[in-house]
Amino acid sequence: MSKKHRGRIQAQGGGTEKSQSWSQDDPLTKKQGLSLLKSLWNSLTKKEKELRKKPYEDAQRYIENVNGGIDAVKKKTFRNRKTKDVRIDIEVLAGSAFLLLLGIFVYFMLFN
Amino acid sequence: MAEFLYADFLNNKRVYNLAQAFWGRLLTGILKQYGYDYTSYINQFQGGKKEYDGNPIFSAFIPEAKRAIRVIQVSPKEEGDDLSAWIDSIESNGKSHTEQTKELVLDVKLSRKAKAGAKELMTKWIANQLDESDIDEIVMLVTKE
Repeated sequence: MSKKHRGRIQAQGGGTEKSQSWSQDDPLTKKQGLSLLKSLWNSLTKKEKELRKKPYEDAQRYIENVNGGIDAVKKKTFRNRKTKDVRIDIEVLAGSAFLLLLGIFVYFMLFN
Repeated sequence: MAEFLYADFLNNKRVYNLAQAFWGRLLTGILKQYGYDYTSYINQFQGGKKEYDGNPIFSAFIPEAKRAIRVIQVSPKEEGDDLSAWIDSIESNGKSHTEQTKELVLDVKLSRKAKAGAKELMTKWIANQLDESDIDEIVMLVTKE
């Protein structure tokens, strides 16, 4: 059975298709989200990183600045605008993501 | 310099809402001939407040066509072409399982040429006449005229 909170962070376009996903019972925290983004970044080649430096920074800033978490379905695209489709996508497919730990505690108290 | 529609949409919530409504009208006009309808599939809110960042400004799932469209609108001041497009996918919930639905993504600085290009791409997409390999040519033909 699929978990309540699911999503993925993807590097796509220009022939690249790499992703880091989550599927868990509790909402993804900001810290976990940033860690997944970092893991994705570390999986890219030097060339793939060069093309996605700004998209990576924009995605990182977006997660850091999320206020109160985000609920599915959410898709955010951070594109290298000098290219047709080289980008990093954040997809919250089910449940919630990018909550602070305190937010997770409140979520748990309300819904469990 | 190209003239941009709803140019101030990121600084003015009223203009943002008008730009959002524009995309809805554009798609409704295309769907009318088929008798199709659409529903938005992207949550526009964050922490209970609507996001006004244009990413995306509009989303539509068209069940009868088994297609989706997402529009990202950026400031006219951003670098790059007025219109870029690619095909992605979304998860949609069927009666008993999750299905993958093809999604046309438009990344737009809303000039009049970009509007024409977006309309052309949406029209072909709904009619199931758009291959990924055709996108660049259509964008170039419409926006460079």
